[in-house]
Amino acid sequence: MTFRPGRPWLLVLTLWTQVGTGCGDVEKIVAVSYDDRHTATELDVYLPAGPPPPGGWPAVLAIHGGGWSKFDRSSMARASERLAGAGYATVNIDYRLVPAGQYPAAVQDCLCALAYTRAHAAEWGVDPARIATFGYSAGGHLASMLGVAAGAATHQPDCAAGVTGPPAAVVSGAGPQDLWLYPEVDEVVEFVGGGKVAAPELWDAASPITHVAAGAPPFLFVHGEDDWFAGVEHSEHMRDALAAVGTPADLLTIPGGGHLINRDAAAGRYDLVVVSTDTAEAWLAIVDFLDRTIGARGVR
Amino acid sequence: MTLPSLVAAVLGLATATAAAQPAINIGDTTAPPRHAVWLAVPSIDGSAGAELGGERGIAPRTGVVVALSARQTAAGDYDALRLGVAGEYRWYWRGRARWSQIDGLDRVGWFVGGRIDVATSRLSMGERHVGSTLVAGARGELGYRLTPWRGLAITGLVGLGGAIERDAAGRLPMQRNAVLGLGLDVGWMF
Repeated sequence: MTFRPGRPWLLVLTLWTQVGTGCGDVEKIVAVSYDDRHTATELDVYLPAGPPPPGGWPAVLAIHGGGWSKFDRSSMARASERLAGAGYATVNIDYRLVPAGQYPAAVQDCLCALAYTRAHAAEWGVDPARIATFGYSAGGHLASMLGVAAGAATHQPDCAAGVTGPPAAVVSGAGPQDLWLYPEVDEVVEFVGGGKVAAPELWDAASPITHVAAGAPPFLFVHGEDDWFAGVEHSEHMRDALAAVGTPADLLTIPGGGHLINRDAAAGRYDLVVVSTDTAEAWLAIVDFLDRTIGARGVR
Repeated sequence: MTLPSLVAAVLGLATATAAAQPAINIGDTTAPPRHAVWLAVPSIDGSAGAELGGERGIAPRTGVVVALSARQTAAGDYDALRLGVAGEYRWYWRGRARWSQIDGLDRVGWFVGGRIDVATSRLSMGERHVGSTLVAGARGELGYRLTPWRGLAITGLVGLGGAIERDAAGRLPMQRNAVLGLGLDVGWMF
């Protein structure tokens, strides 16, 4: 099974699922460059309504999916608005895509965006100590990489925002966690920068599960049980690895849930949604997790 | 009641209902069947739930539908069961289908329908209650029913509409979702 999310019908579905959505009263700051050396490295900021609480808003760094080679931050716009509506300042980022974003460049870009967010926290009313990452698919992989591998020298960016530490919490939706679980499909080989035989060290280094160690931030995984693109075992293995070193890690699986096509639990139909994290129950779990970790409820 | 036992009970009820009806008389002057019951095939995919529907003819080429559904919507370290009810009004355009084997039956072939559904679920994590949701949707549907053998009814359909999700505790802003659904119902007319 290969990633082929660039087909025109998927674009139509993406647009369709975003028709008529939105959460008003959210202030947006759009198209901010967080690394002027590249054109892809832009972000949008979604701020909750009203003045920030003492200490600043808890925040979420949103990272889009697309097999490390497709899509952009528009696919996370709706989730970003909803998070902001729930009291989380949300920084929705683009990053360099393959080939320019080949590992470790995409990881470095995401860390640069996190460093930039912390550097501009006072300007946006954000608490720099309470920033989580939230990604879907390839974005879920990158969100996890920031959580467990921010300290690796090869991952730290050399951008103007400087180096930074890991996020305070991680939400990974349908994210690849162990790239060795994949066959040598083009998307993974092109992201990693070589095949399993030619570059096994890169397959290790680019897999979040390789970097699991004590002291990682808490994780929440959301994953469809019938995901053909990134099997649910990615999240199961990562959850177990984190738990083994004492890191809080929760997993919500969606019975019958896929990567792009899900069951409409309210209507007995196949529902052609774009992301399996976008269920009512997944959203409850995500906000509950954020409340418990970076603590929006305690400061609103 | 666990989900598997609930599904089994629903399926058993459907089977018993269908089996209790007299056989369809094909080719004679007996009145055509007025009722239909079915199972929504996508709802049982993944063995996590089921939707059972029923239709009653109320006028020529016109039927009203009621559907009940139950589906496990969270597992792993969480658990949730979503329960839903839906109502639909269907109008069969021409009242005939290429493979219909029931004389006089006019609720076959192409139809259009308007459907409203409501569902609720409660998410828990162990003993801890995480939250509850209410999902309500409305959609227009275009479908085709055929009855290739005795009372067997097979219906394929596509639906387009919208839904809203509401978090009972108000932690999340209400969300509107567009819905593009594909359905396949298999059942019996009697």
